[in-house]
Amino acid sequence: MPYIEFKNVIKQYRMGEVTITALNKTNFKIDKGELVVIVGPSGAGKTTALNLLGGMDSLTSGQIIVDGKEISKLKNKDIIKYRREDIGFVFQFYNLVQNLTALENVELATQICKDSLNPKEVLEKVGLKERMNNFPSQLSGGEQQRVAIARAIAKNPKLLLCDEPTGALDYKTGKQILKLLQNTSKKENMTVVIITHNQALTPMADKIIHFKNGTAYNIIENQNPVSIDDIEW
Amino acid sequence: MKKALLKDTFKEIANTKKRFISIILMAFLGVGFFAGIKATSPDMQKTLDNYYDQNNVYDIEIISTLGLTDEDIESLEKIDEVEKAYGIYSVDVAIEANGEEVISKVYSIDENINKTILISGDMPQNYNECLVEEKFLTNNNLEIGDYIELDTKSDEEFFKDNKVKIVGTVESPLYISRTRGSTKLGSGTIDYYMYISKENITSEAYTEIYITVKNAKELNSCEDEYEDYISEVKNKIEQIKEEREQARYNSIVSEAQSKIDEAKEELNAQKEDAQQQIYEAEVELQNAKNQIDVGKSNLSNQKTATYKQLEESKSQLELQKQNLEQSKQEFQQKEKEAIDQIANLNEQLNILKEDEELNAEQIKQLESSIAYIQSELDSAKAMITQGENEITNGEQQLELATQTANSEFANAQAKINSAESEYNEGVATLENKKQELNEKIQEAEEKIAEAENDVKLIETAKWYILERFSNSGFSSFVQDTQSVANLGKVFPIVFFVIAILISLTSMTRMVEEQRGEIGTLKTLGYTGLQIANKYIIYAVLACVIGGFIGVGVGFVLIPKVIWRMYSLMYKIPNFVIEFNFYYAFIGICAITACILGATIASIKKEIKQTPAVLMRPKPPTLGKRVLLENIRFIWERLNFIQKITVRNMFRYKKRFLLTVIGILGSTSLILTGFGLRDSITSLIPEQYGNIFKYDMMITIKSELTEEELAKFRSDIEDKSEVEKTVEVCIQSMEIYKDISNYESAELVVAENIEDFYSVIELKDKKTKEKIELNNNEIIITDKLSELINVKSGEEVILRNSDGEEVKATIGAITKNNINHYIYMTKDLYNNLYGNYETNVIYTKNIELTEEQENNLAKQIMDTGCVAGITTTSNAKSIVDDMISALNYVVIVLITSSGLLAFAVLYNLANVNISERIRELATIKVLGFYDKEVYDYLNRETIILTIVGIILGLVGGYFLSYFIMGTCEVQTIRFDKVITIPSYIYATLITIAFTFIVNISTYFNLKKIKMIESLKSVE
Repeated sequence: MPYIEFKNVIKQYRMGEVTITALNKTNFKIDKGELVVIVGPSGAGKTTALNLLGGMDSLTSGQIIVDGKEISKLKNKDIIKYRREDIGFVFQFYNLVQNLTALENVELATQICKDSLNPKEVLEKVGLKERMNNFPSQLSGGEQQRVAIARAIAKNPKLLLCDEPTGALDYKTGKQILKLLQNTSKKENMTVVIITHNQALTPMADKIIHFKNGTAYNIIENQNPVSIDDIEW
Repeated sequence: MKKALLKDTFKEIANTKKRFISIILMAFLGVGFFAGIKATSPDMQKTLDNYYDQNNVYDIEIISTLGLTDEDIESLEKIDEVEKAYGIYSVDVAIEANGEEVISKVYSIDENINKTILISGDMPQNYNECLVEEKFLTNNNLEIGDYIELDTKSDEEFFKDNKVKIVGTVESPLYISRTRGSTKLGSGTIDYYMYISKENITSEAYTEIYITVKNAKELNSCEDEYEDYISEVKNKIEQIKEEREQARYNSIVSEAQSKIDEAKEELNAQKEDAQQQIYEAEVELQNAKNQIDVGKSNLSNQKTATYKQLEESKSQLELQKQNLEQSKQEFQQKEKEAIDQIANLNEQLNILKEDEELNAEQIKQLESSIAYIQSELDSAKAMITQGENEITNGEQQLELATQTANSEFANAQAKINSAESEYNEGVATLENKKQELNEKIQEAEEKIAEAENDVKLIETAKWYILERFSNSGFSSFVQDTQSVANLGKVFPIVFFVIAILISLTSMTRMVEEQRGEIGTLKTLGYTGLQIANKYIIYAVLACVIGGFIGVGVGFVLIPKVIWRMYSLMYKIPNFVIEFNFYYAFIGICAITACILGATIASIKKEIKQTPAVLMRPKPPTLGKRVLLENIRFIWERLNFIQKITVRNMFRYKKRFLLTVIGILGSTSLILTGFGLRDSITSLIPEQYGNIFKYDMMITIKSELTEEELAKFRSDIEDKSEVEKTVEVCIQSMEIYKDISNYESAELVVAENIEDFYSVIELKDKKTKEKIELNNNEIIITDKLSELINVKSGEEVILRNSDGEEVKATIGAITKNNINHYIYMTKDLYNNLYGNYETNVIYTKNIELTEEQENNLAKQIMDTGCVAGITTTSNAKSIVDDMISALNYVVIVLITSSGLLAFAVLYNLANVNISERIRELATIKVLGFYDKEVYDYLNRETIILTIVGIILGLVGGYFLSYFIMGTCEVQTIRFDKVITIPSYIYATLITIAFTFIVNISTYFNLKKIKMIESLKSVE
């Protein structure tokens, strides 16, 4: 039984008179501990799928099952609980709280979780031991994203969802971030889903899901994922 | 402006309804409150002015100490500006109604000036019919059709018929307030006014002349322009015043003098007449006396004559008797001789008889001689008997004559005696009459002298030329409109400032939110002005819509509510609500200008930037450590969320400030409302519990003698319900330091100081320490001292209802809340005016129910010594009515301030959410429960609210003091009290509004769409 399963997931937005179908009968499965990369052109439905998986949006029809729970059927409060306990989110634009230091940003997440990790240790792990007490505005983009990842990881989630984590970063920093994600997946045996439009990143994943026109049309399992260090683009 | 942009503007409004409405709301509140309160005072003034104009109320009133005449009217009407002058009679009367004596002012009806409004019944058709106040009927249980008797308590006749029939009830524009003025009668206060036909008035001179001034109706009588114009006319009247005064004086004096002369002449005539009469009587008496004398002498003459005659007859009779006696003796001798002869003869005969035949002739001769002698003897005997008889007869006759004469003389004497006593009586009567006449003459002479003296004492007539402001109703109303205007100086400004601040944040936020769009438009080549237009239209539209709704609602609602409160104190029909263009214009312009200014300022800042900068989002305010973090001791004690809250609060300083100011403003306004209510409600218990400690005020009939009064007092004191009685003398007074600024006040003279203290407490306003009366100085009440602008130690002038003026020094100022009082001791009164007379008795009773109290009052009334009784509970209820009116203001204040608090919080909450939507979305993504998200944000709001409330309570404390000072009515002094519950209510109301806003925030937060909020670039 897969850890995550999308069954015929349809997501439609109603924009006034027009109905936009963002996801159209999407099916895929992800196993526990897998590093999954979702690729596809913009508007293909990647983010919609990720939002649905992260409990940030509700679907129109179909089923999403995570760890045996049908999250698509959860009530609002349970959805929040699901987000709170099972999901770690990393955004393209970090979304750090500006008014909090790096450490506090992490603490913001950990103080609401039961089995959270020690924020300081997590920050140390992402290499920000020295910058812990700095405000986001005092950190570089890569550092900010690392804080965001630390914030996500520190919750000790079942699932780490990253939406274009390197989109706003330069090549080198991006690589560092991806490395961090890959390591997290491997070392903590965490299920990590990364959205990217960069096809070159696919070799690093255990599973690659291609999106096009609102469906996952090509799911490739990669038996030999490559370390990100060996990938050039 | 390009069509697309215009379309965009309207779309923007549709999309940001909440913001648009909130600006409308702020404009509405700000402008509505501002315009409404500002318009109230003019509306009130206009109402009064209309009422006066419609009823042709006088512009100038003239009262003269010697009355006024048609000649006065004529010469007044010669003044150009004078439209018309009307002479009116008036007098104060006492009326017995329901056993109580009430005082009413009676005016002659003139349907052209000071027109009354007939409320019920009909206008008088007959001379003995009258119109009264509605409350005269209700208070005295009378009905239309009842008769009442008017007593002027004066010797001079004023009415043809004192008994008049009530035919209707009226309202007079001369009496818009509760006060009816003061009088010399009864308790000194006039209770009612009434109107009566001119035909029922016999007085020769008018009491007052009312003048209408040309073109004065066009002016608002509450405004300076009117006052200036009237003063001008007044000055002109002032010019003819002296001449008229003199003329009136002369006519009165000459009339009085001619009356005196007439009286003198009459007196003289009477004197002469009387003297003539006396003379005649004297002559008559003399005659009578002469007659008596003549009678007397006649009588004695007669007496002598009669007695002489009688004596003569007696002596004659005596003579006769003697003669008879002689004759008798002669006869007896003769008889003897005869008998001897006879015997001789008989012997001869006998001898002869022996020769009878022979001697027959001789015998015969002898026999005949014997017979002859016998017959002669017999006849002599008969003559003697006859003589004896005659004497007896004579004696009898004499006796009779003597008796008759005696009785006749006795009668005559009696007659003379009675005539004499009659004469004596006549003399005495004449003497009495003479004395009486002398007395009468003396009296008449004294009266004439007195009258002459009175004429000398007649003072020159004095005219008082009064304006409407001298009418206490008018002046207190105008003052009240001024205090409303004062209210309008503070409240609307607080509202306005808050409204502007809040709308400003909204607009600034809007411009900031739309940086991207502004940048895009700039790249497309639109000019700054074109871009700015959207926001300008948006802001102007919101302000104008809100402003118009505001003036629409404000101009109607606020004046109406305030009017309702004042209409309990003033009887003025037909409240005028006017659309006050001036304030509408100012209000709308001010709010539009302010918000537009803020909008333009923030837009200018954005437009200056290059499109590139604009396309990028505005860098968020940088995170910063706050000062508190340096105080590790405290900082480390805070939990994580608390730390965040502290930091956030300092991060958004502007909003922090605005929230605090907004809440501060509304809390202090609410507290002011409650504070006003507290001060108002504390008035009565303070005045009638702590200052006035008596339960009844009994006004005594003035004709009571000292003994009657003493008995009456002890009778009352004997009643089980009464604990104590205190005598005082109460009079209406006018008091001033500067004649142009006088006030009416009640003078209370303490008969016994110690007793007095037990019913009226004199104490210092601030220290609450007792103040004592002394025999040199007066004590006046606090508000009075403020109004006439005097301090203790200063000298003031007191004028009683007779116009007597005395100087007095103020010894102290005492705390008092309702009405004005002057206190002094009996001794001081005697020094100033002399002749202290108790006219009021205060009683202190045991605890009584209303019924018991009414019973007691009735019992006291029934003694017949009482002109009226006022119970404290009664007085309380009168003031209560007045004061309950003020509660409306409080409700208006609280409601509008609450609304303001609500608007402020709602607005700021929305701005807060929109400004921090990313942050909120982030924590939602992190899995914060709705409640946690809400807490995250609201912890700040709550702290700010608390800070705002605390500052607001402090601010409210000061604001309420300020407001109370400005809206105090003339005869009332508010104690500036704010009770603890008021602080609590003010806090709770603000919290309640915060709570309502927070609920809406909660749902707004719940509605935040995470994905959309995080999608945008940062």
